[in-house]
Amino acid sequence: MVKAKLHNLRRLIPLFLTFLILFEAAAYTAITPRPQEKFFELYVLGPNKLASSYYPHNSSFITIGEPVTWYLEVHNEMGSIQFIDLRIKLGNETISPPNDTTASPSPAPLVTEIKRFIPDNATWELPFIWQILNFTTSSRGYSHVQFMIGNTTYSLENAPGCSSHNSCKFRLIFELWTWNIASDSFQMGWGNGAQQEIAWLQLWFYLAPGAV
Amino acid sequence: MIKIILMLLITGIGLMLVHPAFSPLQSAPQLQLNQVIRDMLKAESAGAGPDEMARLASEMNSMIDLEGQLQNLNPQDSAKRSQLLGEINAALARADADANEAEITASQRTFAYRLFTYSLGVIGAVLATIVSHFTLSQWRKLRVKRVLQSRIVPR
Repeated sequence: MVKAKLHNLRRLIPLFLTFLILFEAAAYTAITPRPQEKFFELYVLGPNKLASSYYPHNSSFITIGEPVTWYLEVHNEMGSIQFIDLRIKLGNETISPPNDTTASPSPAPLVTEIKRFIPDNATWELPFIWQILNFTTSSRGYSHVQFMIGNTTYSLENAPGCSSHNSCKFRLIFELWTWNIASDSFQMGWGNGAQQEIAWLQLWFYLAPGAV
Repeated sequence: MIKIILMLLITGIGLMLVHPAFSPLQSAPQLQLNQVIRDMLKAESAGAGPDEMARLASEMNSMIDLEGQLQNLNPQDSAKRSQLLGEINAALARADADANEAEITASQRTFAYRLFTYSLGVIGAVLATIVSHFTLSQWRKLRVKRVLQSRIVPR
């Protein structure tokens, strides 16, 4: 009787071990987080929070003192909380935009920067209401621009000038910078393995000739 | 001569003490900021939930708002400046403490969850062994019964 029980038990042990391996493998798979693609989304919406009607009167010709309302949105899909720095620059037709290949920022002058902590899988929305309060050109081809973003006034000396008197085409460049723990500073874009990825966008506008 | 050297020394020490107040994210608070970010990431990798991380992010964003106020402040307003600096440091310390607390809670929770999941694996294996053993023994009994019930038909 005891022998039969022992025989049964010996037969059961390999069976139990097989099931244990199978069940523990399933448990490990359930617990271990799946690797996900890490990225940010950076986009801008118009006043109705749609990708349309970006400018008043549906014209990109802006006059001095005319407020423009946009919504800047940053979505974090990096798998962890991120400290970001959104840099807003003013460029013209000649100044170069950020370089996607070398992940280098635009040399355009900085208007302002906005820092924020964004949890994983969350979207940060920033109402971006701006207007140009004053614009003057200097003899050296530069200009002096006074911006109002929200309730704060920003003065930009040596801003890019107009290419001609008839067309004053500018662009606002938005660059996404992220905090790099290793270097204790912000970096353009974010590291994705060995690669450096960047996110940026630009919106063109004209300063109406009468306004200059 | 000694008086001049002493004056220069005092001025130098004074400048060293005053300087950090004019660049909040360039000196000591920056080091603290990096440490807080590290602790927040540790808490997240320990398994802190979205609610806990959102709360930490909110605390840090309040600190950034204070920093924005500090940068827009008139350089002459030293009283307000030192008050804001104190608030920034307090906010950083609070966020760091909360991040550490979140890390401890999250790691305990994650450990309990893992233990529970792996225990479920063991319980599942035991149950599966019992069920399969019972099924096998029933199948064997059925086979024996069929053999015993079978007739030998001469051809």
